Amino acid sequence: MDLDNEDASIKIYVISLVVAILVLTTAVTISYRQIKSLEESSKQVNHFIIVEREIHKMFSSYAIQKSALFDYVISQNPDFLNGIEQYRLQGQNAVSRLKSLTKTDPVQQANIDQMLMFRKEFSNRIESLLNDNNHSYSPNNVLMNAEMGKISTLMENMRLLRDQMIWDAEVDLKRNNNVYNSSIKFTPLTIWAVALFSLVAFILAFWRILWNRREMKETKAFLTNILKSTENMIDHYKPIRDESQEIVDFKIVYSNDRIAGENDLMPKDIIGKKLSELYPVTFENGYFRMLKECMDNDQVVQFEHHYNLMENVKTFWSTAIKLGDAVTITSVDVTPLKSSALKLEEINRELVEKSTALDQAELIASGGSFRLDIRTGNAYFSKNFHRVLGFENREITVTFNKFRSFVHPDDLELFDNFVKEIMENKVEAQQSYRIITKEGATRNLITTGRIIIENDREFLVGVMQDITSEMQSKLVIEDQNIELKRSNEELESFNRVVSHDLQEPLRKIQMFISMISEDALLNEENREYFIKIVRDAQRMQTLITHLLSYSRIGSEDMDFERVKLNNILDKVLQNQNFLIADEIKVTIKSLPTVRGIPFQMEQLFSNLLTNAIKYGKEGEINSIIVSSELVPSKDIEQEFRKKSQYYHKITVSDTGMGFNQDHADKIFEVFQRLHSDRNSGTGIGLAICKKIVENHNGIITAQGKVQGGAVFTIFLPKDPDEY
Amino acid sequence: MNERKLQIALADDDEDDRQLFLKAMGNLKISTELSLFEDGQQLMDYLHSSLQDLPEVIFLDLNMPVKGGMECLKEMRNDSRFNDIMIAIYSTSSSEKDIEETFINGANIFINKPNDFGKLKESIAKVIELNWQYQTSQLDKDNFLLRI
Repeated sequence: MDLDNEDASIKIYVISLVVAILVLTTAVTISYRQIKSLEESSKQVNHFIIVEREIHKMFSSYAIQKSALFDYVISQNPDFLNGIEQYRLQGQNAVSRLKSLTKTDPVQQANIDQMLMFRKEFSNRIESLLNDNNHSYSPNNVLMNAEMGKISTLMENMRLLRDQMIWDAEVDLKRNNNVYNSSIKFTPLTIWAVALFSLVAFILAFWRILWNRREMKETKAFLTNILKSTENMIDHYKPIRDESQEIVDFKIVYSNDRIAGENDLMPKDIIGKKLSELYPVTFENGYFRMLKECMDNDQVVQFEHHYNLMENVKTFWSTAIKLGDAVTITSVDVTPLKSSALKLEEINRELVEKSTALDQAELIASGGSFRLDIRTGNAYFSKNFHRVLGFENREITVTFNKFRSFVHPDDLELFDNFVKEIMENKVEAQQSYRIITKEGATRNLITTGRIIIENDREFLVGVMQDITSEMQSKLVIEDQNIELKRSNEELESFNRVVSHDLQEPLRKIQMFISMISEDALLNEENREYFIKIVRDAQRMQTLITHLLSYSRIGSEDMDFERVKLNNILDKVLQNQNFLIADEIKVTIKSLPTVRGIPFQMEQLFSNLLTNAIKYGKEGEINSIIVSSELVPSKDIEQEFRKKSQYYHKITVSDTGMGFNQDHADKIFEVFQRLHSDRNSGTGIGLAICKKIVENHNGIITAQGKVQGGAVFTIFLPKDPDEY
Repeated sequence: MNERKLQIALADDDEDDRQLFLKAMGNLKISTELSLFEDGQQLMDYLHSSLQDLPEVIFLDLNMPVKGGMECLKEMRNDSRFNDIMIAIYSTSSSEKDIEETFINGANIFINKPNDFGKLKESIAKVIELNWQYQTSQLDKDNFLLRI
């Protein structure tokens, strides 16, 4: 079934037709001419026959005349003479007829003339014989015999002439016929050929018609099948024109079954109806306009149109093709396609968004990702990867080797080993190395990569991060650390110097003073002075000691141990013996075990207790209580880095002078003293406490009321191993 | 009681400290003989040269030129010939670190140089007494350390 080569067939047919016509015409012409020849030929034969007949008639008339005459003569019966005139007339007629018949033949004319001469002679002799008939005939009548013999001879001559004439006529006939002979020979052949040709042509035509019919039937069946089975709506409209031949409407000539699905109309309901009747909406939504355009411009028109069918908007994609003076429209319901397309658009948008978000995330994180197909060598490097290398817009295709060319020459070995590690051992590995970007800058990268297997193919995938700034920060920090260490070391040696060189003279002063004051020969006043010197020297000593211990806290590399606070407190109390008096009542509750530096804990509580004792109220009992409880870190309102979930809340409270709560923070500052110089105090004691507590990852706070005692609260992290 | 005088040595770079020490020793009831050294090197030289007559107690200052107290301590404790000598570190430093280190290295006593003459006399007396206890009752030197 070939739907496309119409033009070719027509040409063939036309050519065949023309050829057939030519052939037939030729054949027919030839046949016609042949038949004409035959006609001529038969005419000639006819002519000959007539001529011959006339010749015979002519001669026979003479012959009969002669025999009649002879019969008369012989029988002397006049009856025999009855017909002579008749025959003589017959002969005359024959001659004149012959004369006219052979007008064109000079030979025959000569013959006829000869015959006429003979006839004349004949007539004469007959005459004479008749006249001589007075005598009766007897066989001995010599004259009569001679006359009769002459007539017989004449007759003979006439007979010979007759034969001659016949012969000449035959010749004439033959001669004329020769011309047609050759033609005549082929006549049956030609006719047979024509007949055959016509038959063949007819058969071919018939066969072709049958074949075409079959094809058409097939095509028709095929088309019908399509029309029936297609999801598309196929309509065929004829235009309805107005007086000025403008298309104003369409009549529905055909519609396939698909209509049925769209609304409740069956094809048979709508065929024959007008577009304006059935679907007036088409005049508004551009459908009619498109069809008109298609018809007027003889163009294939494709367009989209929408319908609201039962609350849904349906979208159709129609193709209109002009066919003769009608239009065929194929419409496809693309509503699902459209919604798919919309969905696709949305997904695309999302994808673009995600991709952009990822790219931006990578940009912010100074990171990038890559994926290398081991087998093909194709690589994907994310947009930010290109940026890190110095290429803004994926200007170059980065392959593995191309990337390798960016690696800093000193780090190439590291890099290669790293890659080897991943590829051979199939493990995830990480490596930091330097690269030199397109502009020549050196950057530090850290890459994590591993092998992934997907569909039996190996991929090397991973992420990379530009840690140049971190590296630089690290370097800066390292430098700062070194500085700090150096500074610390300086401080330590400073400390040592202070410790020794400051204290030494002081000690000696005190020593010598004490030696002098042992001498009982001093008077009261001098003794008094010496006591004062001792006291001030002692103060200085204490100050230096405190300063030293304050500066030492934290800088000494001491390990934390498990410290039983109750033991520490016992020790402190032992040492504080000289300060304990009757007005002072110290209660130590059950205290926890913490992780810390024992002698620092000792110092802490020593200072706190000293403080509490020192600032007792004159004349009143100073009750000092040291107690502890466990609190969860979230309940602690003070802000500090809470490393532990639970903290020991240790309180040292007293009922002494207290202090103004407004100054609570200042208490812990170095050299800050809230009370005047009544009691000896270096102003460093509490600062030391604070430093110790902070060294133990805790904090210390103070609450006080003027003349209402004070509470010092210490938070120390609970040792997680300690129950 | 032994007639033999108690041999005591002091290594301290400070002149005054040596004088004070000598004076303080003078007040003691037991008869002693005090050898004074300016630095660790002198002390060690003396020790090596008088193996027959080693002091029983050595007071060792930490901060000394040429050879410091810590070094001497280590040397002495590494030498088995000096195992019987009681070593008292006599220092101004009260750093816990120093104290610990001296004990780790084998010192028996750590004395913070007092600033009072009376206290000095007490400390020395205490050390001597301890030494006598040790000498007579065979206290285990390895386990015994004291801070004054």
